[in-house]
Amino acid sequence: MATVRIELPSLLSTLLSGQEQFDLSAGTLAEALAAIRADHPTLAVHVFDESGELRQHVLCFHNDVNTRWLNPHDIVLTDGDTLRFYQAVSGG
Amino acid sequence: MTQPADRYSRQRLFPPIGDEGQTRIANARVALIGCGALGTHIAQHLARAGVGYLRVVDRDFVELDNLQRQVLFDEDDVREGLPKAVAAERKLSRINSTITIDARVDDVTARNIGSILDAVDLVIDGTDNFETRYLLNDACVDRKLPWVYGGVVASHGMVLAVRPGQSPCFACVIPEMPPPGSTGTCDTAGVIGPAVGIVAALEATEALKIIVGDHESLSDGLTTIDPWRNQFRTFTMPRNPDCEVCAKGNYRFLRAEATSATSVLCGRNAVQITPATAGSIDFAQMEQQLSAHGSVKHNAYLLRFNVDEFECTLFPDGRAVIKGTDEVERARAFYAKYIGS
Repeated sequence: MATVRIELPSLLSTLLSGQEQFDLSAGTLAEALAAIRADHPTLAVHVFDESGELRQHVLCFHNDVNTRWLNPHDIVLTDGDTLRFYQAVSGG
Repeated sequence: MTQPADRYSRQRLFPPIGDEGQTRIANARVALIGCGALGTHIAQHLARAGVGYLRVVDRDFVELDNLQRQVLFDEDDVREGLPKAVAAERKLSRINSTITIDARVDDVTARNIGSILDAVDLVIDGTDNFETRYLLNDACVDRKLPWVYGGVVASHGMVLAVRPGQSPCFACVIPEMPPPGSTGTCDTAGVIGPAVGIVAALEATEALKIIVGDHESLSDGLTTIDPWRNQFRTFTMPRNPDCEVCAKGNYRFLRAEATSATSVLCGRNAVQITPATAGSIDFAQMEQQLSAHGSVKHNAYLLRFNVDEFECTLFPDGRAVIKGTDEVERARAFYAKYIGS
């Protein structure tokens, strides 16, 4: 298990009372996503769809790598890694 | 009148532009879609830089609460009730009388996108909604036209330069349009002017790189910024080999298959909007977001929102009946502003 940092943009952090980042323990990206679903349901409803997959307008970067087309079970996490979540931005 | 050679001297001194680049800028034909917060900043950058032909397209008119961040407009424009495209043309012509400003007061749809993008080399995004961006992506990929996406809400923004066939398209990065109400809009989550200015500056810079042909200097991915949190990052984004748009040529928005449906409700002074993507709206959260703008109440079946002369009845799947107008453009603008699409 690795300790990884989760970072949220301002709009998603409002769902956690303004908490912009938190740490969790996980061995793979799949485990980290499962931990977020379990521990942060108010955030999870905006990040994951009904089947538990990342919503199509949500981006998840492992460090600086887009994980969209990668198998989350194959992404091994190490201490100090960062998972950054973003939503598509509509305003203009 | 100062001669153009003097006007652009500082820009010519910048080696990646130089005399040759300035000539390319003067010969460039650019369409700016949307002239609100991002659009006014971008238009100003491009007009001052000397883009020879600038088509400014917007469906909306200037309101007082635009002035905090929409830099081309002033209180006179509000008093006159000017369309944004017209007000922008007046200001831009005073900033640079040597270029051509083509103002178009229009709602960009699959029906008119052909004429909107006719005879331009580059498209810049100043819109405030996803539906128009997916339409722009379809149309630009189909025509192999480069375009630059930019979005900003609160203090957070994103920029992506799309070069069809050479870099990821918008659908490679965001494959599906967010359901209505699932992401904040400037009218529900707020927005600060400096964040708008940064995103617009990045869009305009990418535009200038494309115009002068300095493709090596283009960002190779998605840039995200949040100046309030001192964050500025660029993520390298590969093309999606299975992308519905740029790999498969499936232009659902261009064919109007994936766009929202609108219908004027005869005799009711109302327009119904059915979004392209059915949502599952959290009424409690939506009421919280909208309460700063007008009166809101909801039950399990619908949310009713009154602001100015409009009454919006919103259903859980995102369908809305907007009462107070029989103009589809005004209703679509209202929906993009308060619900988000």
